[in-house]
Amino acid sequence: MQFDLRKNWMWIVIIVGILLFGLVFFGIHGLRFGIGLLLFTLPGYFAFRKLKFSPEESACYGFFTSIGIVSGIVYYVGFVIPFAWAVYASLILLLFASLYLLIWGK
Amino acid sequence: MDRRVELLSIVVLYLAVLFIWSMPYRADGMPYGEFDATSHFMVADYMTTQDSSYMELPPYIALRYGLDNAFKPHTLWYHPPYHTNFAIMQVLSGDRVLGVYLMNTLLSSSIVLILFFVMRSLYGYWAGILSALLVSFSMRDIMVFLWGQWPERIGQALIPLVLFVYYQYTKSYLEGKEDRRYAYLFGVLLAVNLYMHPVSFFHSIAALVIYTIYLFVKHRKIPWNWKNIGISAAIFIVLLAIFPFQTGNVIASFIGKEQTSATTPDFSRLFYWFKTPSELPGVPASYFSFSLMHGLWTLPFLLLGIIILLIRRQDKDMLLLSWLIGLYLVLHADVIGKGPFIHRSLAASAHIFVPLTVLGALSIASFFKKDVRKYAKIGVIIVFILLALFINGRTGVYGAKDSSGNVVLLGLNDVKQYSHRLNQAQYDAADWMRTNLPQDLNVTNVGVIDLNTARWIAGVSQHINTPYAPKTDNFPAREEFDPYLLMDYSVLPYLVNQETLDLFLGWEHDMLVNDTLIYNENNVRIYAIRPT
Repeated sequence: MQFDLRKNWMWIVIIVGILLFGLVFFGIHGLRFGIGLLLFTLPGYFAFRKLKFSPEESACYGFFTSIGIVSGIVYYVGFVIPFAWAVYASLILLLFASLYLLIWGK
Repeated sequence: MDRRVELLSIVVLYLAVLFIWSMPYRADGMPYGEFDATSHFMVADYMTTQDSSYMELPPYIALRYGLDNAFKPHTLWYHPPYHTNFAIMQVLSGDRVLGVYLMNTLLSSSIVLILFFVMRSLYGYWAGILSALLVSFSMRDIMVFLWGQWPERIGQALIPLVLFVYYQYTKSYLEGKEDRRYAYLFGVLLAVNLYMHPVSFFHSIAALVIYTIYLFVKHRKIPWNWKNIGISAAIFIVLLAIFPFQTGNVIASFIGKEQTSATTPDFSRLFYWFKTPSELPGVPASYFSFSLMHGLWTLPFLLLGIIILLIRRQDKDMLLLSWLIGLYLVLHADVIGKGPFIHRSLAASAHIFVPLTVLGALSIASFFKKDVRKYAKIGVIIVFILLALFINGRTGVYGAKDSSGNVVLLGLNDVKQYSHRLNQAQYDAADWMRTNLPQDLNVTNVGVIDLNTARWIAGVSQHINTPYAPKTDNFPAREEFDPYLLMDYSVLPYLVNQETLDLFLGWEHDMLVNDTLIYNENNVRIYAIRPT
């Protein structure tokens, strides 16, 4: 799968805009929040893209299912390992799993 | 219009919404909100600060919420994902307050994004962006966001998304091109809807039943494939089974003894959209004012929108009307003995009123001759944007005053006057208590002005805090002292005269002279009490 910059420049503008917004109005913690939000939403986004939903639908469904499903996963992993580790481990694993599915999955 | 410009416009609008809605905490970074807000902060915060998920409530939360789970007392009473979202953002942002409050702002205002997405998909860009703009200043959403009944906001925001996904599925099925992706997504979103707040789930169910009956009557067939809707139901059940104590709580509460206070149902209420109660249920009178909450200018457009949809009766029109009827049913649930907080569902009114208002306004252009229709539409859009910004936007940010100049409604900008927040001195003392005092020992508060502030100190310090004077008429007797005592002069000198202040200082001097001062910063002192 290739990333076509000409088709997707708007998404990059949006992501940079959100991160800048966080940095300018909420400082470094706002920037971290923005990056965290991306990390939180992207697994769902990629999963819905894999299911051939449009980018807008994938972003919408990706975020609003994640607030139930991804946080549910983090919650249970947080019983097994420290919670902060559970957050990072779950989100990174989900991100790689969804990317793998999107790129190489059948 | 170019899809990219459409996307950019909603992103710009939504960032502006986040900027405006974050006014209450952006400047000082202090937590705020009423009793309920403290609970939502506490549940998430305990997860992050203890660095572990948990099911059983710690004492300082259980003191008030221990029995709120009717199925398994002293455990989390909401499905965990809602508060885990806050905890995740505390970890990722690295800020204890911002993580909760910015995520809450995002979830509480998410109706802006969802209405844009749903209305744009159903009726085109202008219906989407105008709905998003107007709902950005929905006063009841803002009020609840300021008060603290936060899970309802995202729960009610998910209703149109659940309905839309169901609409997409039934539409594909009835057109003979069944798209089962939507069936499965429907099961997931319905479960997430219940995770966020049970009342919003029942609102979704009411609207779905009505819409399904309509489809059944119109098409004379069940609007789904049993196999795929069965898989959807299985997904839903599995997702609920993952959190048995909280799902059990929803079931136990629904079939349990929860009743309205009225012994006989008031059937006259059925003839009102919402009859303002004679005794206000802990909310200001402005909460029941259409004019203050929606803007009187929206009423003709709202009625026109309903009439247009009733005349046209396309499936998507009936979806919106089902949503409206579903809200009516939820608002009158007390008539069949379900309540008692039905007025809370009024906060979902704007979510359906706004799209109907927008459709009513946009339909005006169709009354003009074909050759000027385009210009009429542009005119309507400009007028709509100006009214939304200068009436609803102004009220949302600056609140409202009556003809005598009395404040009848607080806006987002006024919230600095809002008493339910800690100041920096209280926050620092509470945070010090969290890290320095043994977790199972309680703290007596003197000088903390009200119960709400004591609750916030409890939340941040993670200790049970019991407030006495001036919250009560009396100072605590020595035998009532907890192992620690907090004397708070950070607010008191501004509220009482010198004579009263001397009373507090004198009491502290006489009563605590033999105890150990262990914290003394910014007019807040904490004593370790000598055991007697």
